[in-house]
Amino acid sequence: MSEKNQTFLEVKDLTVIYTANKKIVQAVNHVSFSLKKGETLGLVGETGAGKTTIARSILRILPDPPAKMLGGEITMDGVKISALSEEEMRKIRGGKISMIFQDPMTALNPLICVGDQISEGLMLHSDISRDEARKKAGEMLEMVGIPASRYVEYPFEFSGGMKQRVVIAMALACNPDLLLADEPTTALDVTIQAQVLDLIADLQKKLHTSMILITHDLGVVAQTCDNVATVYAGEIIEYGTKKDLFLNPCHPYTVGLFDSLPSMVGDEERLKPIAGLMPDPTDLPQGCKFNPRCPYATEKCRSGEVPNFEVSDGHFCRCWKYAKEAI
Amino acid sequence: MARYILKRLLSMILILIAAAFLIFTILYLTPGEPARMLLGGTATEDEVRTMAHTLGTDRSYMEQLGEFMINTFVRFKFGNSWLYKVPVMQEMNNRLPHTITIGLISMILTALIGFGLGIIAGTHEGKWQDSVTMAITMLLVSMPNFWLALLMIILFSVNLGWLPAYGIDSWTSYIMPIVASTLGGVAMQARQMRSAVLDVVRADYVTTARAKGQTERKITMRHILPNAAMPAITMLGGHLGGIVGGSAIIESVFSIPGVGLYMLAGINARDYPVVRTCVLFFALVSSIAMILTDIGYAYLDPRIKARYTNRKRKEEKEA
Ligand SMILES: Nc1ncnc2c1ncn2[C@@H]1O[C@H](COP(=O)(O)OP(=O)(O)OP(=O)(O)O)[C@@H](O)[C@H]1O
Ligand SMILES: [Mg+2]
Repeated sequence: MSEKNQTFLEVKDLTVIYTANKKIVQAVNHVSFSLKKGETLGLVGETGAGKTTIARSILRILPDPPAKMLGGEITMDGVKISALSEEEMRKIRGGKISMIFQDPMTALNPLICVGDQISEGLMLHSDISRDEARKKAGEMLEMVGIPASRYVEYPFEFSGGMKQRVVIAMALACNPDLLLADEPTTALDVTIQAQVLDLIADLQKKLHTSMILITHDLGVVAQTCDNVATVYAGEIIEYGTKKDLFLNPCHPYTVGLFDSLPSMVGDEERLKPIAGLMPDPTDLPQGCKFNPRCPYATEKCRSGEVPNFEVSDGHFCRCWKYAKEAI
Repeated sequence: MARYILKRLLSMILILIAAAFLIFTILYLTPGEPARMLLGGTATEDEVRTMAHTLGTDRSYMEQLGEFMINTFVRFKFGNSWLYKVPVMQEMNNRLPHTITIGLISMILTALIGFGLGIIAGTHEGKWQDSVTMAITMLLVSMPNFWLALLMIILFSVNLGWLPAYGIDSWTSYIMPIVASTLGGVAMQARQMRSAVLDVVRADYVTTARAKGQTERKITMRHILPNAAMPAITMLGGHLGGIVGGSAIIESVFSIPGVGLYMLAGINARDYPVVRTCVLFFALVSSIAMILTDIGYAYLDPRIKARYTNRKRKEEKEA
């Protein structure tokens, strides 16, 4: 709506826990970030870091119980969506904000034909007849490369990659302002992956959609994102432009993450995995969450929260190594 | 779909033939000669031999079996009662209405109430609706139906005098038998439906529907219930069969002149034509119940539906 450089989505101090067997999983801890109109933010981080939980919190579809949003304020387009009533939020879901789910195999209702699952959302958010919705849903299918004649088929008649495309068609059907794409290409083979990313990029350009892209795949990040945030144990530990993170990764974890990529040019003989495991989210370490695995950890890292230091303009990192620059 | 139903009907006929074979063989192998049992202890050897000849029980197993199978499945003749000499079918016609009334109403109630309670409990997990339903169904599942029937007789007939304790005089006579043969199945069906609902409410596609902005009511109606009904429907067939099977017990407790009681009398008197016909009737009713639930299942599950309509759709596509 307004000019391009204005903040479109702002997440402040988001904290989410899961309660499982009397244990508390600290899935997301004080996460803040913002996103401009038309921009793409990549969330990277290993499995269990809390990426999906962040996306679901924005759409307010956390499973409650066991999930509980302890704190946080989410503002989109000037509206504080974290404070909306359930009914108002329902109208935003699938309309202004939509989500592509991680697992296409289970994201579709096995008993409803795929076309009807797409038109279901269309009829909820625009004032169109059933026939018009069907027609539009057919067009959406064509757009993701599935013949519209397969409208009447059921999810079991589709391959995993095609299901993922149906899920994408479903998410894009109502021209969302914000797209939460949770590993949209993980289930796809490389050629289709590129097609799907192009497709999303096209739409983004056309509709000026902002996107949060969750992925393990740094190649996908390089191809699509403007900014990148590294998520570790429920925290954003580094945030910056794509260039910042690829050319000048600062946090030892980000460095390790990017190092563990196979390199085309280098002649390193082996990949370098990051030593150690993600901490148990029910029992996070004191201080920096990465300190047990960090080769540079000092006494300071083992107590107290690490502040967010600005390494360079717009490039933030939660690591004491950069304290000098900040003060 | 027609192909599917046809296939199920064919398999039902096979099941009935198998049931007829089994019941005939079991009765044949039962120790004790029917002719002697029918005549009583005072009969002479000669009388027994003459009787056995009249009944045809002095012939070989194969001869008797062949005659029985042909009579049953080709001529649709079920013979006369050995004890009362009247055609079994004539007696069945008098008794069927009672058994079918109780059975049919119980089946419908089991399905409706069982599904309804399960849905309420499952969609209110942990709330009072859930706890109350679970407590009551737990109690009912562990209560044998004849005992429940006796308790009801003591309360409603003996103490309160509201309902007749036995026989069939008016529609009020049906109330207690129906309740007694319904509650156990209702309880089991409700518990199964509840766990099916609990499985489905956490399913990803329910979250997908919510993410589309669908209302909670529609999410329950369109996404949760049909999916939860699938496993519960499979169970339903078994419970419906159980109701028919249980009719012998319920009819004895309430002295209802139905097929179940007829079968028990037949067993006691070694009146084999009666026993065979009753058993076949029960087999028929349970298979019909099974088929109906299978068709319901196929109707809901596109995977089964597709298997039988694929050809048609492919042709359409090519056209
Ligand atoms: N329904 C749940 N109940 C309990 N704990 C949960 C639940 N969902 C997620 N968690 C926990 O919350 C943490 C964050 O999970 P989340 O799904 O957000 O991770 P993720 O970053 O999306 O991982 P992945 O890359 O594997 O998708 C994990 O420790 C996980 O075990
Ligand atoms: Mg995830």
